[in-house]
Amino acid sequence: MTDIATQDQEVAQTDRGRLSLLVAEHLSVHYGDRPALSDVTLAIGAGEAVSLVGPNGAGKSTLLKVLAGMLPPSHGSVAYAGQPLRGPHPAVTYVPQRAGADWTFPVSVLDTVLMGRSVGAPRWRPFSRRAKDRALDALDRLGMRRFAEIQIGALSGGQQQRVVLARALLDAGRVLLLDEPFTGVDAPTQAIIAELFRELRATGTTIVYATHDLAQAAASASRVVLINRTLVGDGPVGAMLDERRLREAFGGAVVFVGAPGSGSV
Amino acid sequence: MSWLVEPWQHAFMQHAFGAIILVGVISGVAGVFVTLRGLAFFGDALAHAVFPGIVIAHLLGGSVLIGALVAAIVVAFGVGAISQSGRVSNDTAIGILFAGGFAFGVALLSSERSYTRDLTAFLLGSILGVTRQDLAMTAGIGAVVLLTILWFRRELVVVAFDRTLAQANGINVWLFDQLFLVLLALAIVVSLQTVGNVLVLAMLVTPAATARLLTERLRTMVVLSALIGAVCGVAGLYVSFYRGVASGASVVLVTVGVFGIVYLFAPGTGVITARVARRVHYGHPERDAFPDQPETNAARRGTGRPSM
Repeated sequence: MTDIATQDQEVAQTDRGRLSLLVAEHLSVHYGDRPALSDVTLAIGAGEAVSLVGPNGAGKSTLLKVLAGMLPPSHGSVAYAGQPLRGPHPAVTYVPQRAGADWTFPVSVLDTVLMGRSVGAPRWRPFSRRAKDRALDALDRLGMRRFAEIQIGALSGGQQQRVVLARALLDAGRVLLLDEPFTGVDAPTQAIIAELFRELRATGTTIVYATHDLAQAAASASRVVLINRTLVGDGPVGAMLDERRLREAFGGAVVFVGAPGSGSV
Repeated sequence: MSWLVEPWQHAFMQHAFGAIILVGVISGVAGVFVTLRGLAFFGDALAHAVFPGIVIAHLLGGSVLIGALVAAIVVAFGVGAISQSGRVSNDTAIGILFAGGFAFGVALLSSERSYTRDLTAFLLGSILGVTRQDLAMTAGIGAVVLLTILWFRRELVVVAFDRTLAQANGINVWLFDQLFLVLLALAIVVSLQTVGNVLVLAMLVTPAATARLLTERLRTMVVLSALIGAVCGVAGLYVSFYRGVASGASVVLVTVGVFGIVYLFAPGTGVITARVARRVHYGHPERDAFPDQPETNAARRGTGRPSM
């Protein structure tokens, strides 16, 4: 824990050593009269990599949106660095699911990355050379620079996800909240994303990502939070991704293929 | 070439040309967002639902433009409110208000003595009756619509591309939806006199769809769509002038005709040009069969073209 503390002196001071950057207390979310999440309490420390694991419809996306300040909780509160979160915060970047975007849109890969910078961009002029260079650098980090000028409809699922991540890097704050970054992507892309997560953590970025793939939960996270409409488990990877515990948490909805830790919920 | 100049010698045709160029550009630009967001049905509904607004304004002797705009905004918010309940889907809510509004307009107008003549003018437009004031009004509203779209283009594009991303960027998605509805209503309202209530949708959707077939870039698509809208409008008026066809109908038919040609013959993506290009590229499936690859050959014969 000491290395994380030194990475995040500033936050450690504001939080009086509690090391909690993003804190959710007694969160509940209702869509109409349908409960999506109830009574979730969670404290995420600076530099942590947390995977949110749960079946489809378990409220993973909802929790991420609440943590990003995009969705006001019905009950409870979220605080970033000790300050209550009301609306999106520049330091907390939400990275949407790839599937939410319209990939037939008539734009290039570079245009798509620059969409991350659309707020506050010049009104009458095009994007500056500097903004474009930064976008190209972000694409380069994900091995996508040579695709910058092609139309997004020509990309594979894995390439689409890398474009989404390049856009996230462009305005990445201290916390990245990613919705299903590993879903529907090819093995090389999974490796690239995992490597990116390692690099980001090394520079002190906090990563929280939703997944229903236990192998990805185990590989890239230091901590696993099990979610099924409410918090059903929270702890280190080894303790959480245990077959008995998962069955208990999710009922029969866990499928193990091969070795434990490679299944999905 | 005197046939090209001839129509321009009449004042009413000059006004008509001016009006159709403005409408082509305004609808062409607004239409790009309509097609990208898949709002064609909504655009159609809005066009029909403004009908009672026009009729009420007409009966009260007020401004038809303002009547239409008020009706459009009422309907747009009505659709939002009804579908918010979660039990009635968005397109169902559109269907209810679209038909209801239109029937209300017809009911109001049918009590008038000049019913048939007025109805025809509203439904099919009366471009030959465009006055200088109408033209100025269209230009003014058009400038507002185009400048607003230009000013908020990045927000409008992100909201259309990925709503969750827009929310994450701190964009008020609801507000931009409403802004877009008002812009769409304005684009529809200025097109009413030229192409009429029934055919407005063609000016919104067809040039944008044609432009989409020709480019993979949004900026080019917007420029092309405006250009196609204006040029087809002018060409349609020539047809109308020389053939005596109703102006709204001839403009729409030219627009749809151009779409058809592009759909079939666009370089690279046209249904026919792409087929020809494949054949040139891969050769003839029967003649060039590879003797040592029976499976590929069977697949080629089956589909008539390579399965790539």
